[in-house]
Amino acid sequence: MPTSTPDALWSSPAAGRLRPVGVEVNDLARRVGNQPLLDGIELAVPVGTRALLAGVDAEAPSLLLRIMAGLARADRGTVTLAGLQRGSAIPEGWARRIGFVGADPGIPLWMTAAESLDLAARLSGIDGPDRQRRIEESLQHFQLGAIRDRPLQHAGRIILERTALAAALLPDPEVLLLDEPLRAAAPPDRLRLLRIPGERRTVLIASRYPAQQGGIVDRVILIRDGRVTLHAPIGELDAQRLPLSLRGLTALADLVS
Amino acid sequence: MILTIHVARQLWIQLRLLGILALPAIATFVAVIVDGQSGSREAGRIALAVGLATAAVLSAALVGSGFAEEIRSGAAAWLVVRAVPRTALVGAWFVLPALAVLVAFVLAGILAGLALPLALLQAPDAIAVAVILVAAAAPGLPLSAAGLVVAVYAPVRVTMVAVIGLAVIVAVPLVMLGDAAVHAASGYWLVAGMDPANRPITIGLQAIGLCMAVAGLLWGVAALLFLRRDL
Repeated sequence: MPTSTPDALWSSPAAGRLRPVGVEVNDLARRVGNQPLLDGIELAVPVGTRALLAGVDAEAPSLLLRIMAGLARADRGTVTLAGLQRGSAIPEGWARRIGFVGADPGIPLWMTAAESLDLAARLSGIDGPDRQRRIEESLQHFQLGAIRDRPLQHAGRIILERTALAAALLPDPEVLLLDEPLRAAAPPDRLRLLRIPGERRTVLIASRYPAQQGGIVDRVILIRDGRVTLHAPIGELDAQRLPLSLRGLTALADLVS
Repeated sequence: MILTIHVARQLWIQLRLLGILALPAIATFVAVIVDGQSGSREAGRIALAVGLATAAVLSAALVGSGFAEEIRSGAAAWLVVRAVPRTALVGAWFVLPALAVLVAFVLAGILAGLALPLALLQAPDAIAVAVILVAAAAPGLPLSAAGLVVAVYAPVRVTMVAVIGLAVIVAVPLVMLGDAAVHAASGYWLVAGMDPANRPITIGLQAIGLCMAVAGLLWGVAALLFLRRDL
């Protein structure tokens, strides 16, 4: 396991006051075609935050998360997640500390739910009885027990999304990146599953539908013209009597600026 | 090791591994039938050479389409998010099928040796036979690597068609050029024109070397493209 993440610091009582940064992005840029979707993103998200990432250009938040997860390349800039930079992190350390769920679950469909969780655990370096315990707990929490040994190609989208989230949470990651998570789930289920516990866990949720994230996030981040134009506690929307919507976020960004 | 087992299971469950292992054996059975019906040894040998070449092309198409499916389905992204190096993924998709192709061709060669009255059975030594079989399997390597290159950006069916089309484009001029093409296609050439008095070890090794060099180059291209691709 890497020693780059200051475990001792995070577990100390001082962590609450110091608020170390879980997600740090510096001068990140990426053009898609002729359009600069990300144009010098600067972002520092404290540990323990549940943040909504919205964008006037709907593609921008998703692209930012995919760059953070190592799925898309950046033209310039750096990303540090849980104290780790992807290129220099030990693979198991990265897989254990960083979780990502894309808009498309992406799980190999020829596997069963239990097998996909097992593979996720192995790739994260989780071995022995701990692996089996975590798999069983995940199957139970995400209500996957009934289909645990069936190939996922026969499962519906709801099951795929749950399995993807379960696999991402299995290593107990410190940073969790969710791109339009659980779109197919019923609202109560969605709320239950996305209220992810963990004081030391930082969760970023990219969504085109900010209103759906009510009760899940405590901060809002807006990307406009390729830059972060709003990064505020969600309470500020209430204070200004603005709705949790793209229009509300844009209005708050105008007020703040 | 985890990735190797994962790719091997995927190839097996999706029946691609079965296809790669069975195709050379099917080619051998067809050659046996042709040999028996025509009564001509030369016809049997040519049928075997053409059959093995077809098996290599179809195996490469299976590999390329499998990798394309891995990318398109998001399964490659699922692995990369868990810090699986992209080069390792491309490597696993090349090495495992290559080993399977080699095993399949050796088994098909043994089968041919038992079933056909070929010179293969009467070859002067086992090394010559082994070199011929590996040389026959070797052109499948650059084709598989070419399939990986195409698969990085192309959909599954396009990848299959592209690999088969590429094989035809390469094969036609080679066949028309005759002896000059012997280095590139010598495995099949040697199978077709096998002569017990001839020990074609040198030319077989040259063909293997050339195929591996081209395969390595194409694999590098596939890895570079995959490193730059957004998943």
